[in-house]
Amino acid sequence: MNKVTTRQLMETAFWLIFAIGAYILTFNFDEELEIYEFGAAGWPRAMIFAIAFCAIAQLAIEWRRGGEAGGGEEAAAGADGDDAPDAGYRLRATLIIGLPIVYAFLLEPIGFYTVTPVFIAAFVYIGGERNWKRIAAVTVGIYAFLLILFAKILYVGLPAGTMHPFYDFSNWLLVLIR
Amino acid sequence: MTHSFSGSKRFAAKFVLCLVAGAFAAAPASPGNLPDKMEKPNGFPERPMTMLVPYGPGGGSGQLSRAMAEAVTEVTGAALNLEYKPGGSGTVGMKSYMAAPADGYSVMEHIDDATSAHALKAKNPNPAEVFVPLVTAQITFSQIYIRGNETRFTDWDSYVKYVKSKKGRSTIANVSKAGSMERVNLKFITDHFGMKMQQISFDKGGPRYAALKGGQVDALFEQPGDVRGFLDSGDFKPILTIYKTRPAAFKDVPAMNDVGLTFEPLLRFRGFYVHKDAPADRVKWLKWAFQKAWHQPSFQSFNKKKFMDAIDSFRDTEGSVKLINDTAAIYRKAYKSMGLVK
Amino acid sequence: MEHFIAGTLTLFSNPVSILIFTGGLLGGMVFGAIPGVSMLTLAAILLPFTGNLSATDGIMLFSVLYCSGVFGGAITAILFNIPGAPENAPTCFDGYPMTQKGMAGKAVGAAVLCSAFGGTCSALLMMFATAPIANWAISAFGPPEIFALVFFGLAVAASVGSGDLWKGWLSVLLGLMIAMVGIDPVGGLERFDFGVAYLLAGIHFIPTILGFFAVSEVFIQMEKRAKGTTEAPKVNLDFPTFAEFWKLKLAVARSVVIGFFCGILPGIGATLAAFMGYNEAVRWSKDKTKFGKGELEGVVSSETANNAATGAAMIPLLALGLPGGALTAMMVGVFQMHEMEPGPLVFVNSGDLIWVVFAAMFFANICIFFLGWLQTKTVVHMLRIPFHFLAPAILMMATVGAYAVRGLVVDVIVMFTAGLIAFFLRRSGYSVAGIVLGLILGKVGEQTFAQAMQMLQYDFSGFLDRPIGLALILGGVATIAMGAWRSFVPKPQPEPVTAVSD
Repeated sequence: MNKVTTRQLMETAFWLIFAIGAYILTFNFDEELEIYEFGAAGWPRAMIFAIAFCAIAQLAIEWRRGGEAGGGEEAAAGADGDDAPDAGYRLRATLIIGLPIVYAFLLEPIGFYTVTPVFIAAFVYIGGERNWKRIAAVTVGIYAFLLILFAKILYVGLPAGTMHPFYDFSNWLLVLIR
Repeated sequence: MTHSFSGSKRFAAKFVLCLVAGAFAAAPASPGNLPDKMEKPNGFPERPMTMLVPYGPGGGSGQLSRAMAEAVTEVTGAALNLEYKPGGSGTVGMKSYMAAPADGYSVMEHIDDATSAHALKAKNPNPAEVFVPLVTAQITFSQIYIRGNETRFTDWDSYVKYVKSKKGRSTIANVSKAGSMERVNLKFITDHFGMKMQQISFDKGGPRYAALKGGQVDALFEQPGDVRGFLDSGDFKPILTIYKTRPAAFKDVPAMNDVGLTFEPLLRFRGFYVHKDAPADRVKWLKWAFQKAWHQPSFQSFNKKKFMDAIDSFRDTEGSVKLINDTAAIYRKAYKSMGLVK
Repeated sequence: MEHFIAGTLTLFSNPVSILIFTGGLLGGMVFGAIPGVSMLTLAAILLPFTGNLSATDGIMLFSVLYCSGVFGGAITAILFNIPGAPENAPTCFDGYPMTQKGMAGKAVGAAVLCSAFGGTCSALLMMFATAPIANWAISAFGPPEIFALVFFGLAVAASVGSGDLWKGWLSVLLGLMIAMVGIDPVGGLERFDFGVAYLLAGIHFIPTILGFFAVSEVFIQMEKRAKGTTEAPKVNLDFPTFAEFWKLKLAVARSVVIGFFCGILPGIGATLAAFMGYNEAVRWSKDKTKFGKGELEGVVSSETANNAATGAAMIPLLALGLPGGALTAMMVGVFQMHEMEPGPLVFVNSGDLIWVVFAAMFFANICIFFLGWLQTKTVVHMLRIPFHFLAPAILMMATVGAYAVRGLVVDVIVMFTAGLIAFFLRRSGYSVAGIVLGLILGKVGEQTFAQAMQMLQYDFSGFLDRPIGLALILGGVATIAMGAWRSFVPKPQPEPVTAVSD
């Protein structure tokens, strides 16, 4: 029986779109290099062709096998995600992976020292803790540990923020604990 | 691929000599010009300052920055924390520095790469315009090295003969960045002698030196301070100094005048900068502190170990601005003749 | 021998040196074992302070930190599926399944013994072989040979280290693509930077590995909690028996050789050593299906190999001044802070220093053997802390760990993005470890390929004159061909040989 799963087709499509996109980008640096014949785009293009080849080979073999081997394991792995999650779960899962990204983008302007305690408390709350005393204790505990270890003992220069008044708060805090 | 470099000699002879001779011959400021003490402007600095280094801690910039920070602390008692932000030939660290508040608490180390990057692409800022140079602390020339036990050629003349006989198959290890100080200098040299050789690009020092020592390449382009260990051990020996005259430290090595090279040599220089918008009184104090620190015996002995006493290595603020602007002018001309810019 | 005794006496006659030795040992073990940071974090932080120590103490501190940190990184790999350093990544493959099966003690115990054994062997070899091996390696291994070795390593990792050949290759290729972001290694052109200046610094492997392993593991565990399907791992302190080890003597010996060999080569180092040690164990095994499900031999082969690489990596560093990896590169910085250059002259001018370092590394590995057991008994109890309290601590430590390497906020963003990608990828059969290996070796691979082409005048037949390079290339091609043949010939599919997904 020769057939492939939709999932397999989507995977192959993803890789081919990725390869085409990357190939288009190589024209941005497709300049000749005076000392190297293959130029800056030679190696990336070779790898892009290898990706396209592997993606097509994978599809061809899947087609020959009849969409069973390999796919079975993935289907099993994916199965536990399919049992109709409720809206509350969806929100929590989104926050779990979304909040750290927001945190990372706030580090440069606002600074590590201001944004970190807020993040810790929020993350513990999303993790399911509702006892505010425990949230406060964990937040203070982790924050104090980080400050003592990295700012006081090891003198690590962490992002102080570039915006006022956060930049000033960071410097005030550093002078205080050092 | 080939480029026409017929214009390069002419440009070297006509334009550059008059343009920059003054910059490289500028007299060093003597420590006598600087007061021994200077009052802290309104208590500045009242907390440790940050010195941003846009390169890794192990390289030439990292070492220089530590030596300078120590000397500044010796002079002023003020502490400096070093932050290394390597990547993108120094562009990433500079970008990060420009985002930091301009309160004088953070200073930055940078090298001539910033100048050549500006000459290559106008979108890269001119370091003499967006920053105030506090001091240029190291200026050095490059050399061409061969193995100490090399037998196929032993000096510059026999090397040129060897390279020509190999018809483009002779190899030299060099840095990878097109348009860099290293590559432009070497281009002028090969052009002058009509030599064709294969440059092998290495972006890190370690593997570049290993390639020469291990016999993978015939020669190496480098600055003496970076390969001092190999020079002292006799593993490497210089066969050409890319500077007009012979510095005393390399009095037995032919310099450009000895072999008939007439272009203006591009030099490696490293210095310290502060935001242009930092408060004027703080900038004045920082200038004093860094220039004073350069004259400290501890810093002088550091520079001596790096062969940075071979030629005059010091520029004050005005001297640095002139050095940067003049160097940028050379690069712009060179890039034009190489077809890198229009 | 008298050098070694003199070095030992110097090391242990000075109270400051003893204190620094102990500090490095404990620091590496503790930082290695805290999920989210690693010995590299500590090393980057400590670097500026070594200026205040004597040159001998500074170098000694870093070499001890190196030994104990590579060991410490195994503990988090086994307990939390978070490798402390890239070289511990293959330890996760079988170490973490062992924890899930309630065999954490056994896995960590094996890591202790094998790390100490591999490291000690390596330290001994290093003492006898540094000068001759360094000179041989540097002339025998030029860019063409290093490229050939990278090619062979990637071929083996993609073909053997993954259940599905094509997914394995796609993973490695994706890693190679990520390695291209930033400045190209031949002409310095900007590639795949999307106009973001910070991306010119390239994607560093430390934040990526923290994201792929630490952050994504936190996401997965927290998501399980949100779904209510979490189960606490069982804490168990049974150590492996001597008989169990004796059965694995071949795997240990093989990994010592592989680890030592890979460690010697500049730019390759312990990461490829660990991957190759693990993959060779799979390849030589009669029953390949047992790997990835909690097989002791997997932990043993990976941990022996990466520790065997530590002593070997010191050879090019000390004898030639050529660092092999991130930590040895920082050691160059320590030397230079004392206005010394590692290299041939160090043996002549500072022979005492070298022998103190050799002695310190030897004794560090011996100490790991004893302290490791003690640490195991305490660290395993971290599994008892409720995960939603541990999770923010891990993320914050990882943030500092990612930031401290280069001082760039973009690295923190890269880390969390990598965590997000791995969160989805780890269910799909693709190999995050393969991506990491591609990322680490990508730049070396491209650069040495370009150098080889420049040296050989773009003529592949030039490899015929370079027997070591030729053998490695042929080995790599044969590995790929065999894998491709096996995947094309329809036959009853065995279970995937290793856990490619977790």
